Amino acid sequence: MVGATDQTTRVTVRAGSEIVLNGENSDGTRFPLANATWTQTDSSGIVVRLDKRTDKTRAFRVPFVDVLTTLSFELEVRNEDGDTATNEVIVDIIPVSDSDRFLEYFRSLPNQYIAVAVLKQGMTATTAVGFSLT
Amino acid sequence: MNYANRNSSSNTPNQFDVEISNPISHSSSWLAGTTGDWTTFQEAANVYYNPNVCFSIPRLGLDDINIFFDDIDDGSGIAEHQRDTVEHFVDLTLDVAGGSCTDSTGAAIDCQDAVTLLVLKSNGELVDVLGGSSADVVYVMVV
Repeated sequence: MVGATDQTTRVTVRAGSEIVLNGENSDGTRFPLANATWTQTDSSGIVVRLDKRTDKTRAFRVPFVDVLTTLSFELEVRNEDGDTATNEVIVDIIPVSDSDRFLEYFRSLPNQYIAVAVLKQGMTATTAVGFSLT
Repeated sequence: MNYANRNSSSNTPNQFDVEISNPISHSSSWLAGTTGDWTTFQEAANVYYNPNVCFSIPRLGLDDINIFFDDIDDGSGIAEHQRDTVEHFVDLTLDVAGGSCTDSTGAAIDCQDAVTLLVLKSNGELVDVLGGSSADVVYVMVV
């Protein structure tokens, strides 16, 4: 089927940006398309929410990550004769580093924040570790 | 605050800071045997052994500014339309007190180096990962 050719597309994005997964070029050739399904297929442990824009299009906000992280998605289209075809999209996320300066509109400032004291990944407290957050 | 008036020297505007909040502090501890076992920062923020503190960034109103302005410029003050950009500085510090820690290889390390700070919006969106245990977070607001 046109637009779903068992091929893989790979893109690189920055954390925080918006991605649109577009399957609009899909076509059922001899029969009309019955449906199109986008599925996240990676095992990164990060699950993104795919918002429906059109029957063949989904969008999501790229999550913030600590290290280079890869997400993958599969589009499966099916025509009314039951034929299927798939495309894979791989999204490499580049972490945003040193981004402690933010531009906000004053009127819409989200005023509530949460500071979390975190024991770094893989670190172990062998005796109780006290702390204060100020 | 940067502003210029007839007493300002060329290219050297008057400047002062406005403190609009009292410091808050929260103390807790990680129990012996606790290991930082997480893969994403959102996950780190959600695990029970990483306590969190909710805070608000106070909005800077004209009254907060004009209290100072009145004192230093004979009460002339400023109006809403004269304010363009506001920078909010939030100082966050995580101080470790006692305890002992090991890294992922089992080697002993300074516990101050075993911790870090995350800042999230109340909706869970990650605002920033502070690389160490203290930092200034700067919010620039376009009025």
